[in-house]
Amino acid sequence: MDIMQSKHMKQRHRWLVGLALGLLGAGAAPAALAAETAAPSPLYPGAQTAQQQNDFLLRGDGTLRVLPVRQGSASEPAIYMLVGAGANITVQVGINGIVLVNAGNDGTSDKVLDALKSITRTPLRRIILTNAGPDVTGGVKALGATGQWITGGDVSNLLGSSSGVTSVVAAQEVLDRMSASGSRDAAPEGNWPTDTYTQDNKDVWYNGESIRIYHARAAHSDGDSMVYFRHSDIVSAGDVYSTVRFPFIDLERGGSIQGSIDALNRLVYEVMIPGPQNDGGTVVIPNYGRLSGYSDVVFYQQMLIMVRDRVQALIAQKKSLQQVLAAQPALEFEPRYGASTGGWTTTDFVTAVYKSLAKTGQGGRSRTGSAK
Amino acid sequence: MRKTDRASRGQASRLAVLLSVAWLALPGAAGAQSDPSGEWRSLQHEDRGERGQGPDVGDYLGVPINAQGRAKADAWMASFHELLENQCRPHPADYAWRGPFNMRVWMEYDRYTQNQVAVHTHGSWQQPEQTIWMDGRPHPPVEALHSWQGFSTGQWEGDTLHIVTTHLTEGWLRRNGLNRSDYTTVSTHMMRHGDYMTVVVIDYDPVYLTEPFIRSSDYALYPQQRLQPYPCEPQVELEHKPGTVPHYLPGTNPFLEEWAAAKGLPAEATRGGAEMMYPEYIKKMEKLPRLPRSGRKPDGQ
Repeated sequence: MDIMQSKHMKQRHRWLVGLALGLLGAGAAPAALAAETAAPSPLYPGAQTAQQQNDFLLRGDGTLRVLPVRQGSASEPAIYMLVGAGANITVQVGINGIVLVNAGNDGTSDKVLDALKSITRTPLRRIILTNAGPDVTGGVKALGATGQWITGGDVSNLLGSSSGVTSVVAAQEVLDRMSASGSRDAAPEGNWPTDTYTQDNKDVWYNGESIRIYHARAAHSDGDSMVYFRHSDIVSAGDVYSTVRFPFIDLERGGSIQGSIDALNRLVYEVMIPGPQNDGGTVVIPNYGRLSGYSDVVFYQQMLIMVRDRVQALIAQKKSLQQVLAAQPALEFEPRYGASTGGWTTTDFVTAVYKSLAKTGQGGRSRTGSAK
Repeated sequence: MRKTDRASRGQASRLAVLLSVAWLALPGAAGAQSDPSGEWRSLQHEDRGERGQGPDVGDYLGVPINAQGRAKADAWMASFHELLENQCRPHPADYAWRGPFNMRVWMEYDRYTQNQVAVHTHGSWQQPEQTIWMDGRPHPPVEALHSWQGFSTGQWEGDTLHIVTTHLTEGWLRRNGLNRSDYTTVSTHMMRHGDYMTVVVIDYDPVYLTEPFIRSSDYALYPQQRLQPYPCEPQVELEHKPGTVPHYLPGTNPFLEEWAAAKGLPAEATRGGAEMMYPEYIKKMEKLPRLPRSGRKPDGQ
């Protein structure tokens, strides 16, 4: 509902502002009153509801936008966020070249390359994939073909670098899913990762800073990576975190509610450090949504813990899925993160939480004992 | 009327016009702006019951929340603020005026043009600082970072400074679980009247509010004030295992009617919603069944 369009409400609103200013004896009441007969411009042009604002950030307006996140220098890398090519793309640029986190949708690579050219003339060296989804991996082949991977001469038979080759890093599960015939994520070989890891963390060093890749097991999927640029203090959190929807817990790809919470806990307790009074500090780039700070991520983590606790309690009461859905365990978060249509609705989210907990036998009193 | 009277009145009128024109020609006088600069102390007399230790649990009176905002507040538990990750949260830009917020306000001018570039505020508790850009710059793109103080632009409307704030982190309307979302746009009016200043804050939240929420707070000039630093580092107050959130499951909060009972009010009247912001609601409330007075003294009163 467009709450500001209602004539009745505008009259009430005028009355309230007039009363407030009148009571205060403010000489400027007429000017202030005139200014408040309409709501100030919303954060997102043309959007009046949270859902419209979420849609704008999810789907964009068809353009590719470049957002500077950290300014670089002669010796320090710069970080940018590219929005509008599928999942958000993080760009680290420095003396060694370009490192990307995510490659965007298939068919968006020309726009991505144009954007990269507007930032730097240095070559693309690495792509790190946060999961196996086509919005993350679709552009690997086209972007990778423009890269120059630095190898030893005994590997490439070319001293220093291999043109047309880019190192593509991902968790092993991403390659497993993309290379399995009949898999939902099956993709042409050119889009596959070339450099996989199986351990909890993979560390690389590029452009003068260390980059730690955290393997978030069983969060959105079983192959999620969160990429932490330590010097820049920026994390590409993949689909573990979003500002525009409930977490996309993909049970078919090995995702789970507890794994999603564990990944967020890792961000909050191990990776992120807030600045003074919880502002500033570590910045998060989600696959979908806006740049975020410590408190944004904490609010999201707390939301997910509360929903899990509620669904656990309902499962302990032997409630069926339909009864759990009817109980609306995500009620207060729905107008902010929920959707009734599209690819990931509130019903989909609550169903995934329920199935995830029921599957692992985690119904019953809250595991953490945090809910009363 | 005698001719001489008319003549002298005409001369006086012309003189007044001339003086007015001359005054308007003075640098900075044309805008009739009322410089908010100075050290200010919070008067705290409005809505006294919710200042200091804060409002009671379940007191949503007069706040135009929707069902989701009510559900969020019903789940709130005071020990939520014991979590290490929550302890150093400052009051957000729209709520700060209500808190322990003695403040300093100062203006920033461009050295060469003497145009106003920004108005700055610095508050006492948790030392929040707000920059209100006066140079006409646009608000940041939608993908930009949010913060507790948000991004603000201002303009003079007569002698009222009108501020629009976006890019806020999720925050609160009252300190009993009534939250507003990070999609909120805040409209603030700063009005100086000599040694006093009134600040009217209007929250527009498409997530938890069905109508704008309006509050005013007052300040008195206090030139002797010396604001102290306010560093904050979280410390364990009560042990909470990382990854836990104190909250009430739906329907289990036993304190929601406590305040209504202490006041002898109808429970329904304390549940919030736009209807109860208006005087017409008093008639409706008179017909609702009241809770028997519990004898408990409400907090802060």
